Amino acid sequence: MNDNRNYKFTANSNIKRKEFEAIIKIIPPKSRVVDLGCGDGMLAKLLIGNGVDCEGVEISQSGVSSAKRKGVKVIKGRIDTRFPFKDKQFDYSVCNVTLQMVMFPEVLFDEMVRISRYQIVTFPNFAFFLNRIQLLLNGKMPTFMLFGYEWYSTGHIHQLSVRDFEDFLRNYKVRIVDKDFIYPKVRYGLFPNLFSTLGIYVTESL
Amino acid sequence: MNDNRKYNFALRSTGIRAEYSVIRNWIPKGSRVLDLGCGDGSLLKYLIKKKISGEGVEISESGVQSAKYKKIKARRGRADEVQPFKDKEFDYAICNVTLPVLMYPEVCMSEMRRVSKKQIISFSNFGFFDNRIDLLINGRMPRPMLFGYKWHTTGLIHQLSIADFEDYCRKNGYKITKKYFFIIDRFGPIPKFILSLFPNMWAITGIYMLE
Repeated sequence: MNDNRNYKFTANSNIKRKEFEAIIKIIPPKSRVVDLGCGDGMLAKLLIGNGVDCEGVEISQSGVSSAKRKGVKVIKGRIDTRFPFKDKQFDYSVCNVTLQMVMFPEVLFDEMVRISRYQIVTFPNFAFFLNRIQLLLNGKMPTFMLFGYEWYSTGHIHQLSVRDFEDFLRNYKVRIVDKDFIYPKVRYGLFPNLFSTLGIYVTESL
Repeated sequence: MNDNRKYNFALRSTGIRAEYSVIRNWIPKGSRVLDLGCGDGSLLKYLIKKKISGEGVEISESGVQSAKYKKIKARRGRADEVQPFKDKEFDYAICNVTLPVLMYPEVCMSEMRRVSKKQIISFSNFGFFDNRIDLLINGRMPRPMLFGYKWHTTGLIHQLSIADFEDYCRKNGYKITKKYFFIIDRFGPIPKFILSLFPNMWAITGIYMLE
């Protein structure tokens, strides 16, 4: 079983991440949304609080339990496989910092395009300049995007850069509606593939 | 089932990889070996010529079938979990170019240490010069060591460099007794000696023996 190295959430886990705000702003109330790799259901809970109809899919039992405690409807399962959802069943499918953790990222995104009109994908940017310097000078697998893990213990098994993601999108019939980037310390920045730590992309199925 | 992106071996699959002769030179005649991630069993077959016997563990059914077709003993299973073998049951445990495709590389290494007296591990080197340039200049997950795959289709889910491996061995009490590097052949014969002084920059593959 591919467990992406066993996420363990506590029952009352309520981790708020920086990009939540950006995602919440994008999704209008009353939209039907699925959060793929929803973890402890915190993002889904915040969306529901905003009047959004949101459910989740999550592989870790601890995440599923924690999300259910928050009143979020969750299916336990992998997200890089065919979903039991109908074509365009949702307005938005969200995959927040999870694309890089799955064995089959291209299956995941293909399904997102099938089940929803809009897709929101966020991911840590492997080409962040400190990563580049670490590989160049130390000759080691860069660890800045691994959040405390090391080359062998990370669940980030398919890391990618902003540029890799834009190339990846060309394999699908989608257009980029909006993109945003998170920079360390500053709100706005330039050269996202070099200076941003996280990419947030909104795409629309064509 | 984590299939590491589905290896599919032909039944009569054969192939000799560059590491094989190094590994055969390192292992004395008559040794018993375990090959974790044995693929189509071609390494174990290659070792038979030196009266080295052993068995393999392989996750892909096609690999197991192909190994059995070669009369190699192989069992279907993961290489990164507890193995059903006794402590020090083998003289050597081998993990050839497989460590980076595992979800739990550290479990594989500790099990190798438990079931064998000596361990042989090889992997492609993430610190290779071209990788550094691809990330630095092009800003991509480096492609040179993915051998035609892309960031999302590669089975190499835990890539590491020679420096990463030596660090890991130092911190976790693995003693390195031998190493061999395949250095890139790019600038003619004389500088190759100079390149070999900087394996983390110029080696494509590293092979290690641990004790």
